[in-house]
Amino acid sequence: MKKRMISLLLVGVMAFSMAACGGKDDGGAVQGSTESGGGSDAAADTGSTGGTYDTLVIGSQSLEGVFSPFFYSSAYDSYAGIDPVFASVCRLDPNGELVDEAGHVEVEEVTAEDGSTKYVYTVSIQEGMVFSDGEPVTIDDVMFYYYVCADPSYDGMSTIGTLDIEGMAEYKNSAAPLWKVIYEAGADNTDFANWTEEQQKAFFETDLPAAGAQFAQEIVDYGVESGAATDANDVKGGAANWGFEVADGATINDFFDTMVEAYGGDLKTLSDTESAGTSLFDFMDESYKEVVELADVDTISGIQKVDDYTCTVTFNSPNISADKQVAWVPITPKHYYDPDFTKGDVSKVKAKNGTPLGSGPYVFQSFDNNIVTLTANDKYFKGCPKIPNLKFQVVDENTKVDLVLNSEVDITDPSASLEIIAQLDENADKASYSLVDNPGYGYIGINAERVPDVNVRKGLMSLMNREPAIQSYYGDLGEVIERPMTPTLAEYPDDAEPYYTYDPAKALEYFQAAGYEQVDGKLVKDGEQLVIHVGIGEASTHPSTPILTQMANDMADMGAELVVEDVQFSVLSPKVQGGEFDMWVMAWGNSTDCDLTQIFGSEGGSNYQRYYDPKIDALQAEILKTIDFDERCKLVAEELDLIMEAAVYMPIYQRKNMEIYNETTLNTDTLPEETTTYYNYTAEYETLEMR
Amino acid sequence: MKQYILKRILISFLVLFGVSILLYGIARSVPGDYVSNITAGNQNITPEMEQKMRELYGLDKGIIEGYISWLGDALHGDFGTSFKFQQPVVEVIKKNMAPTLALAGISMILEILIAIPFGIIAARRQYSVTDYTIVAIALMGISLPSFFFASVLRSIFSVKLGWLPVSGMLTARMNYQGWDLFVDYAKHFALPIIVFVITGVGGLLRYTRTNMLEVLSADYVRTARAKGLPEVKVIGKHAFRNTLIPIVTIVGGMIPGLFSGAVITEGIFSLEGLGNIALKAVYSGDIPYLMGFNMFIAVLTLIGTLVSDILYAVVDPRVRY
Repeated sequence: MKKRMISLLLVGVMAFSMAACGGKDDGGAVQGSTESGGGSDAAADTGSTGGTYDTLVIGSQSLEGVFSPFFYSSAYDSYAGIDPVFASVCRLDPNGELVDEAGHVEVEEVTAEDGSTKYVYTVSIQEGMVFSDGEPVTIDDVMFYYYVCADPSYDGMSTIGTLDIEGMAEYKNSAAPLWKVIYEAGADNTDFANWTEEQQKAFFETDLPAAGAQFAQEIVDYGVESGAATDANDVKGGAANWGFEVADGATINDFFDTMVEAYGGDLKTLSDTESAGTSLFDFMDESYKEVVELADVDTISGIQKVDDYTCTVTFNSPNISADKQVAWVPITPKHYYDPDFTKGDVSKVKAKNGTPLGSGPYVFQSFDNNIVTLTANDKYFKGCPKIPNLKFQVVDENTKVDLVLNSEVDITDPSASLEIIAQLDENADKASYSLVDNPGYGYIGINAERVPDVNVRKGLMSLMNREPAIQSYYGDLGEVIERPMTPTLAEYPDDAEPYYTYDPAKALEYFQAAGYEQVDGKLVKDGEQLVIHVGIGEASTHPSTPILTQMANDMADMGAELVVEDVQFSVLSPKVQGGEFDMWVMAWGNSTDCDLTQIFGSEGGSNYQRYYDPKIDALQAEILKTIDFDERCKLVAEELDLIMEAAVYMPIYQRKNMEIYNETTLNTDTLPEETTTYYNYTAEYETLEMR
Repeated sequence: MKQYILKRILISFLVLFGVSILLYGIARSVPGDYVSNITAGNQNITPEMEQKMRELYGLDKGIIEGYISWLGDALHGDFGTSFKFQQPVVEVIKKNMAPTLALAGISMILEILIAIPFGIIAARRQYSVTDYTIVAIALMGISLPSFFFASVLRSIFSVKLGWLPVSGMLTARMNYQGWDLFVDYAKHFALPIIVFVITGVGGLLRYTRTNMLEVLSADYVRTARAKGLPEVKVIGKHAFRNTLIPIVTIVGGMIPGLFSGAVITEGIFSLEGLGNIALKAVYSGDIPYLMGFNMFIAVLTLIGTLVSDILYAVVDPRVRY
């Protein structure tokens, strides 16, 4: 009786719920939950409708919907909404070398009038191509891409604006705050087009000295608080505390002038570096911060149109990746994005972020329900693709393999693991896969400012047991590397020997050489125990975790301590950049050339290890100029050895990326013969076929 | 009553103001800003470029300065442009509201429809097998981690049996229209809704049961029984209506949950709902989106509590404001 009541109630509830939500059927809103009863035809729906498939479904990581070659920041946005939509001038071949696509690039060295050597890249595109809306493709569309990326208001990821192209600096810097333009024009300036004579006079005679005095006074006051200066008038003491030397009895303005001199008149850097709390410009009237457009420079002199299909880009200095920078670019229709594009306003280009249009193999239709829909472009210059529809569906990382085995998705890229390989080998009739090297590598870095003694660093490196950790995590899907550069680059020294092998006894020798002694079971120097703080992101699933675990044990045995700080990646990254760790575990990605100046150069923005060596700088400069491949390899090997000797970067692993293909739906014979780090099916959309 | 509502609305504005200060302060204090997140791991970015981007995104300003400029814009109805999605915040919320609302709305209706009758049954037969079974199942539902339960359901219904799709909102391969499209949506939402309902129904059910037990032991129920009313009337008319009073307030409080989304469930089933994207926004440091979205939820929470207070007066004649 009871049971019957419950089941009756259950049925009643179900029926009521169906009625309750059956009523609303408005567009995007959704109903559900009562399907399991009659839903046995689901498999038939996802399968074939008569033997042939007309849609290629690619499983993608989450999308942000910024399908703009100018402004995207996620690689997956690029795969789904940009790569298939835009044709590029050149592209990479399976070996990572630049080859012609819709155009061609050539370089020529010329001697300029002033005797300097310039590097002129001639970029040309094929004639007769059209965008998917039927408008012809011209070189203006390529130049439009350069100009948007170089615009002063551009906030995307392209680095074109930072290249040493002739006239680029003038173009980018022609708009500046009022204080800067007045200051740089000097007190003797007589051109009052952008500001008045009174403004200039006030700036140099009262406003700048007053702000400078307040700025310097703040530093002195800081010294008073910390005890370095006796009182607010002790300019000498306050300045000395800040690392500046001024004469006895110097005034506060003398101190400021000394700082200006030390910075060669660069007020911005001075303010950023020396401020004791308040920016120099905050001591000035707000009006000085207003941006003045100097109006003169509205073209980049180094970018010149030759004819409708050719332009030249002139570089002031040699750059081994310049050809990629100027030619491995999408062709973006100016008529569509902003026919009246003017300098300083990229808002119209941004407004088209969600609706890309180009001359590539597919035409963008929509991004709804987490699915990007594209249709074949019959105007594509290499011929209309054979698969009429291309869709990118957002899928969860953990379901990627199931989705392919269930034939819901045709191609996707799970992160390679031994379990997945085993699962795919079991289902070889349903899915196949490819493995290629990831263009990046994992490493452990040591901050040379926090661990200044090279022997301590070498000792730490001798405690890193990399082989077992990588072998157990990756198996054949990763390998230990010996130099801090991805082996996918041709310049990587394949014959490199391990620089520091795992050897706790040797490590102890290094520590002892650095002056550490074992006292009462503790490794101490000047009474201080050796304690190293290491930062790692999400250690529970990190391949390098066993290395740290073993290191911590070995160090504990010696009487030292390794403090592992397990943090989220978004926390790790700023802490590493801010130099808050002695040691950290991270990885690099997307390496396309052997230019390591950003990471290892003294001026490099990513030199988080804070190790500066003029010898490395000189080698790097040499490498960038060395066009001869063998010669360049030698220099790179030399540079990498220097870095290893400094013991600031321990290369750990090179891992593989995986792509899986659905054998049931996709004609895998039509995939490219060679899939490599730089080349996969996306380069040959037009020849892919379904079953 | 009118005066009370007016007063509550005025207070709400003050609360919102305080909430916005807190939210902005927290959002900006999270380590790692948007620029360092998108440039991390990219070797080609120079420090100058990073600095330039910070200026363009307004991240070079201090917290107070940034808050004032955000507040100024927000008061004019401009919640800014999401860093991550490069679209106005309001647009992003509107665009992703449908899946969240569908998932949470349908689940909420089902939860109410299951929890209330079963809660009442359990209470009426306290300490019986029925009671223990219902409570045990409810507790199991509460204790099930949704990511685990979702994986189990998926491996049975999607991978082994092939009845339901693995994830997503639509079958990408097909271009369904009309009724078929609707059915396709329904199939994709079936598993997430089941997960949602089973893991969420327990709380409300146990609440209903406890309240019902309390009411059943009240004097007026004994009186009703004593004067010989049939049991259906005692439960349906006297007890049930009094049980409803606290439940109404709970349901009012559930309103913001309709929009805040289910971070884990949405993520596992690749539904692009508000919860899922809010999580991504936190990870990437998308300040404008976080502010817009959290303020939206704050407004809903205030409305939810206001509505449940008003409903309280409606269902319980003893309450007067």
